[in-house]
Amino acid sequence: MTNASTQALLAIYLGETYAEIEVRSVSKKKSLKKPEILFKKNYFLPQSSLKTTLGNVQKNLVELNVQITDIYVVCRYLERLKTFRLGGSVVQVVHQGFENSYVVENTSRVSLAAAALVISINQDSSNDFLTSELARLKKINPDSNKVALELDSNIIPETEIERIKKFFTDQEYKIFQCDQPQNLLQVRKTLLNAGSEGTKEEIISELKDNFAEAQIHFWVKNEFHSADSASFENFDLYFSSQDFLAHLLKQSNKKILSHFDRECWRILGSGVKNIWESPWGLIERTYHTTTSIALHPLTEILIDETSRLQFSKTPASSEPGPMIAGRGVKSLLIDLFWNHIQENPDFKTLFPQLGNALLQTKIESQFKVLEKGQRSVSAELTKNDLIVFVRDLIDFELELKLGHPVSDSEKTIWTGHLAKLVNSKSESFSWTENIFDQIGKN
Amino acid sequence: MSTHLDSHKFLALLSPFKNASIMNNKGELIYSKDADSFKTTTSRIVLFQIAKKYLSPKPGDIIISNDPENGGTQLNRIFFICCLHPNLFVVWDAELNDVQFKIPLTPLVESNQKNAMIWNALIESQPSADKFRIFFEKQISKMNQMQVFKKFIAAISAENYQKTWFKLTKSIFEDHFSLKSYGQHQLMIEYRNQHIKINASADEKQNIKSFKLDFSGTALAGQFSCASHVVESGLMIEISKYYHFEKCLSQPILDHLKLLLPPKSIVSKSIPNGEYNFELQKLTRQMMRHCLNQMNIQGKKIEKKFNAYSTAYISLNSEHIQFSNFLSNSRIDFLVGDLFEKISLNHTEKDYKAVLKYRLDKTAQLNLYGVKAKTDSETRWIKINGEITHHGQFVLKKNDELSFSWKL
Repeated sequence: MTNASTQALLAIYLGETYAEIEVRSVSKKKSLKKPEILFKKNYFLPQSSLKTTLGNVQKNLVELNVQITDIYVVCRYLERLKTFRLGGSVVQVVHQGFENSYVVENTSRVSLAAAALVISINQDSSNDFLTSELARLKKINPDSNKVALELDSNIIPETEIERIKKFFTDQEYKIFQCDQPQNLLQVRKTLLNAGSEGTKEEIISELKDNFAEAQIHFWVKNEFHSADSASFENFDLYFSSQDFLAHLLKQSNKKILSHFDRECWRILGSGVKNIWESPWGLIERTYHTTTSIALHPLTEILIDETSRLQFSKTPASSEPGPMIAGRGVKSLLIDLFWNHIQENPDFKTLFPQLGNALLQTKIESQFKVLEKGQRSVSAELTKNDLIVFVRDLIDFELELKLGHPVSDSEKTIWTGHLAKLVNSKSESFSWTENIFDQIGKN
Repeated sequence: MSTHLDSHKFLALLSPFKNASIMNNKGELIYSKDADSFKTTTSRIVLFQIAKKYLSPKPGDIIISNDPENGGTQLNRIFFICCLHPNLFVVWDAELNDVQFKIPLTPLVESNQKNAMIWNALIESQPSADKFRIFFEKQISKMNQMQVFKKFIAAISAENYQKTWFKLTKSIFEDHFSLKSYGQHQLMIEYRNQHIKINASADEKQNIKSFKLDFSGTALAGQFSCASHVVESGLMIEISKYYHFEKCLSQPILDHLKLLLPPKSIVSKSIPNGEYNFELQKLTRQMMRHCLNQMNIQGKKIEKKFNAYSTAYISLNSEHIQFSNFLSNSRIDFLVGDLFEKISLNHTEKDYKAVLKYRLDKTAQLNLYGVKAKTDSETRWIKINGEITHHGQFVLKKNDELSFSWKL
């Protein structure tokens, strides 16, 4: 006879580069105030895929005889899509003369759909026409499986639009409909929903594969929404973590939130904006104003062509990640602070190799190479000089953006695992603890 | 300690601005940023010198001007000269399309207080006073934002700091300069039936590295011309980008760049409304880039023919909306917004096409400037009500049609 399993909730912060996962036992949500933490761990996603990560968690929970009933996700995972052209499998159905209309406002933005996968509707929108057009597009991309309908009911009758919709449904295409094709903000939103569908489905299917019985909830705006509900759209998931932080800010009754995490440094204000300047162009979405700090935890420190130390213009790729993760070969800003963070329990589980003396020697040697590679001894910046400079620059930028010195904690709430580096008075931070707090309040 | 990385702090300080300079009391450039498609590096220096001579700004003062014949560029581009410390000034510019009149050097703010008389005459008396008030208050708030950094301002105002910074930037310039070829290239083009001639040379004599640009031989100005600082601003940016010292463009570097712009020529005579500024700055930048590329061709020198390409700057100003759109060789920034009904709007291959119908009852002012090249006239054009046009000021009425076809 087997023991009855413990029912539990799983909270996950699914970041761009890491996942923080915590499981707490509950019989009733109200008892969350004194929960039993059954499992808590951080995973560096470039070294452990989402699939492997969740598989590992599931294995641990099986050993503990724990059954997950609900999963609460705060997500920044879609951030990784921001540098990509999206919509490789998305077909656009548009009125003739409006092919890829969303691009024209700003051609330097990343594209949201494959420019060639377009069906232009003029006089003929019959099923025969659609069949022949689809056959043409299938030659370009046989795997296309989503369609964005950008059709105006003032130009083509609603019944025709419904027929076209049915045609694509019958062809097993997932439909994304734009009700206002004249409005480019709406067109972009529709295409982004279509282009992000795969990643959202990836998250859901990986969670379902490991916790088949669990209900999945995503944080969007100011609450958790069931993953299968229509109360949020795919593109809302780009804002999940930002919305969550904004909610923490609101609850704190402070004016500004300074977020210093392992993967982004930014400031959230109390004001809101209604138009998002996305990498793909303007999209309508209400969100809290944010300002990024110029330096990024993955900013590379390098020697330029005149043998001077410089910071890279853009952050390094998360794969293989910083040296503290064990495989990185570039000196990144976060590596500069390795001995400040090595005792932090979260970093110990995220980067277990950081405790390895050989890795520590490698990091130090790399910074020595940077020190010695500089142009002249008189202009040489040591690792310690850099640490002082980086802290000073962050303080400077924060003061400019916060409008008060960093030490003035009255108006600002600090979040993120690296907040202590910037403000020693800030409290330790955990995404999952905050998620459980919010579950308790819901 | 001063290091070349201090450029990051200067950049942070100037983050509220698109185009801005930090200068000392002698008028020496400490740091410069030009993120707008229209460059004003030298214009800001010129205006600072004039403001200093006639109005001697003190800490907490902001002096404004837009006079195209006196250091300014276009009427809608307002320059702000702000004194943060007796030895530290920030000069920036910002656009307000409603300003279509000349503002001579004017003390808008004195000792951190708005000059009430000027404020009433210049802002509150305007038909669109709200728009003016929001614009100017926003600019003044930028000074307040910078003034918070008392310690930093005091540090970089010190002569010793500036001396060390200039030494650093000079050495960065010399290192970058040495990484490119020395040599000379001459280019003469005919544009609007006028000759524009440029002779560029990079040289080192007696251990002094210098870059010289000589426009001798350029036709005398008729109607088509602009102030020399307009051309110079564009060329400074082109050179600093090419040599990768844009992060430390400062006085010691300017001292190594010699520009000879013959008086009263196309490239050195201002006109009252500055209407050819954008066109001439863009054209001379194209010419400059060609010369730099030719000077640095590796191996066998092959004379590559210069072909100018079309660019367009379209500013739109209606009751509550101000758009600045830009069509260039590499990108299109054209915010359609709600001003227009879209008759067609599409992108196929590298062609971008739009037919837009103006939809508001209130008219809109449309200013169109840019380089008009002969070689791409078939693939890059702009029409207003069916008529091809590339230059001028227009009034758009309801149902007027603006269309363009632009190949990248």
